[in-house]
Amino acid sequence: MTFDAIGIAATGLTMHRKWLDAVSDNLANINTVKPTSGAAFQARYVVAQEGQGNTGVYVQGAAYGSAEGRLTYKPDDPMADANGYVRLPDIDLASQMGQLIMAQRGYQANAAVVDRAKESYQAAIQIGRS
Amino acid sequence: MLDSVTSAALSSALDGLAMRQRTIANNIANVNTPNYHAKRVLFEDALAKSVQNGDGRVTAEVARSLEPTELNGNNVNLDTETLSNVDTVLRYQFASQAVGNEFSAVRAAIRTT
Amino acid sequence: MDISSISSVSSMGSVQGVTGTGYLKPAGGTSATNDSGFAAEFSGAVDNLQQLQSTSNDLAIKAVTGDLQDIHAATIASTRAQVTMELVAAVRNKGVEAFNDIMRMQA
Repeated sequence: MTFDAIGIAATGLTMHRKWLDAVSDNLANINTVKPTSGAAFQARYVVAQEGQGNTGVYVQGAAYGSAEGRLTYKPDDPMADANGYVRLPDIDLASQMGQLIMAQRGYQANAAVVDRAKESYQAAIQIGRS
Repeated sequence: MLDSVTSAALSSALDGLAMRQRTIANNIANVNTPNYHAKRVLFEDALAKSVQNGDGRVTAEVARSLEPTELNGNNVNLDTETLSNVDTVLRYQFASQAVGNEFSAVRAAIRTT
Repeated sequence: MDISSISSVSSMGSVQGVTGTGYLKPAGGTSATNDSGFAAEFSGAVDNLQQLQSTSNDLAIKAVTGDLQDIHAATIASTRAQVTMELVAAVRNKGVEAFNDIMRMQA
């Protein structure tokens, strides 16, 4: 590929954006109630893998958090079972916020790589002008 | 005009610097990948020796960074990579300009007006 | 009124010999042109150019192998060599033009 560094940074941008999407999804559903008959809302994690050679990173798949969740006593909830329990997701707010910051930092770093690469390629294109 | 050693040295330097920029892009893309070790490109010392021997051509080689890893096995140091990226770009711009100057000099000699 | 004729102006002393003020040097006759003037200058300039280019190459190599403290030394040397090259080319062109002009002059 002619402009390699930009392509590699693009894979980094994609992976970090998918991570951001997963984390914001987790945070949006942090209080989603599910009945005890089924699984709780499971937190989603993105599994990143290094590309072969110098091809950046790719998302291998997703990993899911605990399906048990936290059993909470909420008798007024329409989804409560006979004993008044519902399942809440086992998502830690602090940990998700930490991941949000890391994903954002990674995204910005990859965007800066694209800028730097563009400066280099422009210098190469200028060789021999005038 | 550039003699053959300088010409070959600048050309090798440009190759090495371009490879270094790709490697930095790879490291930053994998900044959050578990068990990933940062890669480094080395060519400056080999180039200096090669120039002393009168040759100027050298191939860059890739090595693993030996920095300590985080909890998830990743050892990419984002600050080092960012600074190295800026340094590489500036060197690349300088080397490109030096190569371009050779052509300008020849053009100046050719002009007869 | 009788206008007497103007007697000869001999009452005024004739203009005595003039001595030079010494401000202007007398123009000497053209000597035969010796070739050492322009050619010596020009080859001196070309040697200087070689020297500048060699310095510029050394500094450029130092810069890419990482031994150079100040990058501006390399860029200044490179620009100096380039400008000197253009200057030498311009002097050459003017010299050739002047030569052609002189050759074209009719005797």
